[in-house]
Amino acid sequence: MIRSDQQKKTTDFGVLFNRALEDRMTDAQAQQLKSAMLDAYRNVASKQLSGGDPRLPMEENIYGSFLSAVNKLILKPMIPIIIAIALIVTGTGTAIAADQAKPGDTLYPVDRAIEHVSYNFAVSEASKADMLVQFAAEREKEHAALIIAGRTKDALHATEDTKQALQKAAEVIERVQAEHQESNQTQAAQSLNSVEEKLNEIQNRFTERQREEVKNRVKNALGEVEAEATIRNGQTTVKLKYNGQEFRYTLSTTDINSIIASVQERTGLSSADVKALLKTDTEDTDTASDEAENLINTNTVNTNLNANTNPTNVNANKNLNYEYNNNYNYSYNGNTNGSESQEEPADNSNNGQGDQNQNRNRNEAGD
Amino acid sequence: MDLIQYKMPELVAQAQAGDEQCAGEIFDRYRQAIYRFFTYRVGSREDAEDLTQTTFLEMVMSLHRYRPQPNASFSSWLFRIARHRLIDYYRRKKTTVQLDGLSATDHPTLQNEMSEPVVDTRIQIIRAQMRRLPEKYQTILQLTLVEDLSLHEVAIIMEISDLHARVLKHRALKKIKGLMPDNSIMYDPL
Repeated sequence: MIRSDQQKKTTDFGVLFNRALEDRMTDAQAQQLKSAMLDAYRNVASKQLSGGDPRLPMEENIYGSFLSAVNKLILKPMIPIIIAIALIVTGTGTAIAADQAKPGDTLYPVDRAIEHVSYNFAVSEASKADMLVQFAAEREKEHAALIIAGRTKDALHATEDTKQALQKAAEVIERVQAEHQESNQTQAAQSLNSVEEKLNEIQNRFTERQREEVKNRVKNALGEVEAEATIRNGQTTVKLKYNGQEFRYTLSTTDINSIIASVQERTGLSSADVKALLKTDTEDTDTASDEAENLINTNTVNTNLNANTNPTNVNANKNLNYEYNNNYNYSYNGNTNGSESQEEPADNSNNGQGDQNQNRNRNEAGD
Repeated sequence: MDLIQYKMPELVAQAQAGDEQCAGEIFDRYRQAIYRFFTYRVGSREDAEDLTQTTFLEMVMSLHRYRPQPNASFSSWLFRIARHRLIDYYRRKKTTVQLDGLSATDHPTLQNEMSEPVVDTRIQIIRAQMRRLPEKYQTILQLTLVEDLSLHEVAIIMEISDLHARVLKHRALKKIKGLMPDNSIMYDPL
């Protein structure tokens, strides 16, 4: 078959692309990864044989295996029937009651199912986006209510649900905007801006609450904690307050991971906690210096990447150790030496912490 | 029967039933593709290896939940896990914007470890420009042009509609060609 010019160009480009991105893992590396994977596989298989299911924590299943089976086999298929009966027998009473339900409540699956049904009934893409923002707002409210009620386990689920809802809403808004722009419906694309603003508000509220939650949790150990990073001209100034003292130091990097690591070193907090606590602020410079700033940032990142590939860190990263009973956490020994930090003279109470290797946990949400 | 003759659905079913050798064979079949998915899109080879490992470990942990779909291959499922891990990585690193302007020769580890010397400057340009594209564009170009997956499969991996995938690919190609110093790349014989 003779290809058209356009097809040929694309195909040639494809071949070139293929050559550009071709890269192979060495056999030794592959063997190392394979043996780690098979270890995990054996672990999963043996736990299954011994009757326990190591994957339950990953699934964030709060019911236990029996209730989970009941939920899957009986409750889920019956949800549409429950909704129908609820609407017929009690008018909209149950549906309204379900609307107030939070993760962990019996009617919560009904609440989610009602949302699902209404979402599928929405005609236009824009109204679907709007609906997803409403759902995100609801998740966020549920999260707040559960924290106030002290239901920490359910709050954890609500946190994940809220994150997912926010992410989905953001993705749909982006897609709908892109499609509107593609078909030159600029007015329609602009009308989504208010929906996007609303989503940002919810996101900000959620971030702020998570920050407060971490602050309260670490209050006993560290007192009032505050961490603020100001990024300017390729440098980051970190203001840190804990144990009743205030510190200020400068990092010659804008890499968020390095900033988090520097705060971790000093406070001993986990990376997730620091992420929740840290307020970042990028100070705008005038347009003329933007390019220079980008260049500085680029060079800084390059330096960091070199720094991160030193043999100690490479070995440390390889030492991934999975723990099945801890909601897919894995720990590694991260060498967070403070070589790039320049401590200001005012801060003299940070002795003996710069060299330590900390065990840190990184939480990874399941798929 | 030699494992190499197994088709993917058989291998996956055996692995789900607890056959360790089949799980190992799945790894062997996909390790290079998954590793390739991460290289040139992350900070270093070590990061690419870590992400490859994380992807396969998550595959092991979630294998029991996998159900074959009529129009989607196992690779769609696996690449979806890989993409989620990549997005998590970007969130943690947040260096995508700052890496703008890096050329392939700036890459800290790739510079010294390239298995063969790169003579084609166009290849260097693609490597450098690829990192300047949004994650969605990178993914769609890599999966369709390098891994040769259909747009339908890519749509499943990216959790978008087929139409959206087509639009994205069109835009991504336009964008990366626009980033080339001139359009000669489209016409040069290879």
